[in-house]
Amino acid sequence: MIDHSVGRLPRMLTPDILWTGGCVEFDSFGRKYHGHMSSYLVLGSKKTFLVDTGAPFHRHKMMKDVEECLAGRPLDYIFPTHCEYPHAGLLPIWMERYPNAIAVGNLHDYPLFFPKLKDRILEMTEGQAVDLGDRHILFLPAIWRDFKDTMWAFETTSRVMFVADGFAFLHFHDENECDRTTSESATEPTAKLFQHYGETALNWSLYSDVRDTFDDLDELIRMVKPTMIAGAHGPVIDNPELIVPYAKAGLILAGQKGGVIPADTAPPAVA
Amino acid sequence: MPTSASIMSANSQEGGICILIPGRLFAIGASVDLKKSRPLFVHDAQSGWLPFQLFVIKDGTDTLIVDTGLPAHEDVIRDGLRQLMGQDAAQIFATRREFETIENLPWMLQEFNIKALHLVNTMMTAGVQTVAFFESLAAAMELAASEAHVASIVGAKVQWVKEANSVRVGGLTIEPIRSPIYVLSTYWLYESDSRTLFSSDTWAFLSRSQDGGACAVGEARILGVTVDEIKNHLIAKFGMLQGTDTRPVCNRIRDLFDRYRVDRICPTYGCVIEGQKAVANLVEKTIEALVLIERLPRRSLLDGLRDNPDVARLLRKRSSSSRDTLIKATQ
Repeated sequence: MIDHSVGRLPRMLTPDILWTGGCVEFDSFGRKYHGHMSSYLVLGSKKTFLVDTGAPFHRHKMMKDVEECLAGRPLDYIFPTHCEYPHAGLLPIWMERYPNAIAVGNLHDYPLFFPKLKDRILEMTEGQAVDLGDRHILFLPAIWRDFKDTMWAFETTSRVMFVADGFAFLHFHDENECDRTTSESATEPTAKLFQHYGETALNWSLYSDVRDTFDDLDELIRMVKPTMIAGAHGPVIDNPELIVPYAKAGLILAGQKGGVIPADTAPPAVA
Repeated sequence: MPTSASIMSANSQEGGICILIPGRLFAIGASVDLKKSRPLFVHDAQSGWLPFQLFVIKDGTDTLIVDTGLPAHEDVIRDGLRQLMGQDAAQIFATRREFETIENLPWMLQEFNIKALHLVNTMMTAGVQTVAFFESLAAAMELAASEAHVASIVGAKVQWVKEANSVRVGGLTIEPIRSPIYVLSTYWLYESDSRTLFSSDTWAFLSRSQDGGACAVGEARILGVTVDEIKNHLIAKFGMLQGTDTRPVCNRIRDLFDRYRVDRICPTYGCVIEGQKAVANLVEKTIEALVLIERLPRRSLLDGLRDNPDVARLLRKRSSSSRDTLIKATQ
């Protein structure tokens, strides 16, 4: 598997973590913009773990990437971060492809939606963990979320925090940026690129003061100390101290547009 | 024009079919035992059996299906649709793109004669001024993603719902209305002939005391519903409202019910609410509930982690191997 940036996914973030999926492309104002739809595969020494099931139009490519990365190993766990189609919609497909895989996460409602899979569902809650051998996946509360069942997850060896719809932002496509992390990107992100997802994936940011969530977010980051923040809808963040303020600023912009945050609110300081 | 018949006669059931207006409006579905399988979006205080349903609107040979019901109830839904429409041509309108509203689409599209599918876009502007840059950006992105999504699972023609575009069913005109309360983009539907509002996941909370399909409740039941019950329903599904300024939502609801006379509310789950007085009473109490919700404090999401020794132990693990660091781009 490719282990450095070549402009497109898949990419090994570490020798044991695959970043796969793809982007949705569109033209606006003379530029190409992309929005990621990412999934991640973690290779533990004993067990393997997939984060999110991906978008249908990337399905064949993703399944090929995962199969190649597994190199004959089974896929043991599939973690849909929340019950929304880009994240959980392909669960039956993955479960059919890997008949011994277990779906894991906050999956209390899944027997109603996928009755045929009800015997292969392992409910986990925040604070619980799955043992992959040489590392664990610790389930965390999703500070920024749309659906109530959303969980974030933390891989304890490389210290990658998987954040579902959190920290989502667009990227310009001029420089073949699709597989670049934030420290490798040719362009610095802007709060506006975070604002877009603040208004679409996280609708509440338009009518709810997002600043009420910042204490929890800051405390979680202090507690977990991630080296990377890997979301479903944005480049992997490998310099969180620089990028987290942009993410906050983007959601503040959404709140200002919605009228719930004063227009003269200063953006969070960049570290 | 069909009127709200009495609860008893309009609530008759044949198998999984509940007849709300004879010959015109039906609900098909079954219930979930909240003791055994309470969905996460249903409040802990709720008890009994919660009906989940889709709705079928018929005018002559034209049919509109609103939402697709729970996959766990696939057999009941299939039998009901066969009974009500056979191979008559029909349209489907999905009020939102969540599992309890569209997961049954693939088999329904294959087994029945579905000529059009109305899907909501996930970009909601909700009347807030938008910067043109983001509106065109979001619209273009969502269209590309959504069309590909739907095309990858079904082959039916897709109509993207816009508030201005009514849906014709025979002689009926059914109007999409952006929901004032939502997690993902949600559209209500208003059918003016019967004054029926299809409210998706709003007011989707009234359970029944025993197992069974969809059913309707009237003024007597609604008068007994407390503001707290409505508050609990709203925060269970729309938790982001807690501690926020709910006045815009309240104003929008008032405006909608000033504009549209509603004699019946049909939610995707929960009992149907029957009668203009029942609806009015429910809406009044909803406004009160939203005021209460505004005053609820937000709680930290980290309470369960802070003093958890297992979490502390896992977070103490350190990587000493250079192999675990990011493999950087090489020049």
